[in-house]
This record gives sequence, C-alpha cells and structure tokens, in this order.
Amino acid sequence: MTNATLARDARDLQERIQDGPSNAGSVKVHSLRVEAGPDPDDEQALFVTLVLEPPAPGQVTWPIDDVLRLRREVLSIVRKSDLEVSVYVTLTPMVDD
Amino acid sequence: MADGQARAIRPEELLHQANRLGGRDGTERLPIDLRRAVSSAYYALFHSIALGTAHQLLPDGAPEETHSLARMVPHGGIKFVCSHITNDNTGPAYTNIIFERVKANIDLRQAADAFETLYVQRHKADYDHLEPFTRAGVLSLVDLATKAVDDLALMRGTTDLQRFHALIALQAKQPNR
Repeated sequence: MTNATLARDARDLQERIQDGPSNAGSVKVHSLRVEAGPDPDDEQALFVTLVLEPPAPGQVTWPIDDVLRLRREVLSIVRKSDLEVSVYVTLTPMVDD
Repeated sequence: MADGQARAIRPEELLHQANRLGGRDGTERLPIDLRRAVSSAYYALFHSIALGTAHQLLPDGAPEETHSLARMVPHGGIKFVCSHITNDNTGPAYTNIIFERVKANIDLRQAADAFETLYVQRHKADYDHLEPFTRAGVLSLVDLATKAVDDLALMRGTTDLQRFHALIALQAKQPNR
C-alpha cells in the first residue's frame, strides 16, 4: 500500500466517522483525527483519536458503558469501510488534565 | 510473604496497580506514572488470557505447570487472534469456522478490541517519548482492561471462551523445534 493510498484512506475514514455518532450517553465527541503510521509490529495502520469533552465534574474518567457504546459504533464504521490496514481507536480529553 | 519468594503474577493486582498509578483516587500523577499504568493494564489482560489458555490446555495441572505453559503464549499470537475477531475479513484457513463463532460473541469481540487497543497503547507508553497521556484517557484504558478481564472470568467454562483459548494456543511456538 502506498503512502498516498493510506493518506486517502485516513481522510475518507475521518469523514465517515465524523458523519457518525457525536455522543454516547454522557460521552461527547468534540473532534477527531485519523493518522497513518506504523503499529507495534511495524505494519502500516490507521490511528483514530476521539477527542472527548472532559469527564463530568468530580469524575476522573468517562463511564465505561458509554465508552464501550461509542467504541462499538465507531468500530462498526471502521469495519464497513473495508480497509486493508489495522485501525486502532483511542480516547483523549479535549483539555489535558 | 518473604522477600525473594516467588509469587505468581495476578491480573487483579496489576489492575489495582494501574488504578493507583493512573490516579483513580483523584490525585495528580506524574506522566511516567500514567505510562506505567497503561503498561500494567495491558499486562493484566495479557496474563488473564495467557493463564486462561494454559488452564484450558492442562486443567488439572499443578500451578507451576500452568505457569510454565502460560510463558509459551506469545503477545503477537494473541494480537493475531484478536485482529481476526475484530475485523470482518475471513479468518485463516481451517480455523475460520471457529473464528466466525467467536466473532458472534459480543463480549469476546469487546475483549479482543480491548486487547488490540492496549497492545498499541502499551507500546506507545513504553517507547514513544512524544506520545501524550492524560489521566482520563489512561483510566479509560484501565477500565477497558478491567471490563475485559471481568468478562473473560464470567465466561469461564463456556464453549466460546474455549474456542478463543484454542485459537490462541495454536499460536504458541516451541523454541528450537
């Protein structure tokens, strides 16, 4: 797979996820990015970072059930995209704590 | 326990450590603590799967035999199996029928996703100087590992979990064969 193809796949996947769920329960997606790079096995992969609004006041992270629901929905979009490379999804808060 | 005495690695202790290093109690943690929390969360899930596979291979074995077998379970082998569970591609020849049945189990699919996610994040935590880690993000990873470890424990004795462990056992490699 060429770098150009991978970059196009990253752009396309970002658009598809952006058209998908923007929240799951109390978890709200602020923005997202999809970047190409090597995974731990040195295989080309796509890395989806969901930038979330911070956890509720007094909470140190987001509720696991909401996180799992969001992940399922995003991973469903990834699977339907029929990509040749592995895709990894991670969550991060929009304001660094 | 006396200093220097062997004690098996317990997934629940690694999760406890991950929560402490990740600042679950609300205390501020150093970036290096957050990195170690990710690593501990990954290893909790890794050892849970490796020990489960070893138990399945030798159900009545002595603890030292189970722990020896668990040493043969490769990280990359679990990753290989989990990748085939989380994507919609056809699984490897001959075992595809087993992969398809495992994929239908939502808890196993979720545990496979957790493993893949932690596999990548553990690598970044241990090697990538430029990767930022936040408390909320790290504790979310710890929760992902905890849920997977708990779900696998609840599935003990089920045919689907046996299928999962069988697929992983096939990935074990004997040195100098």
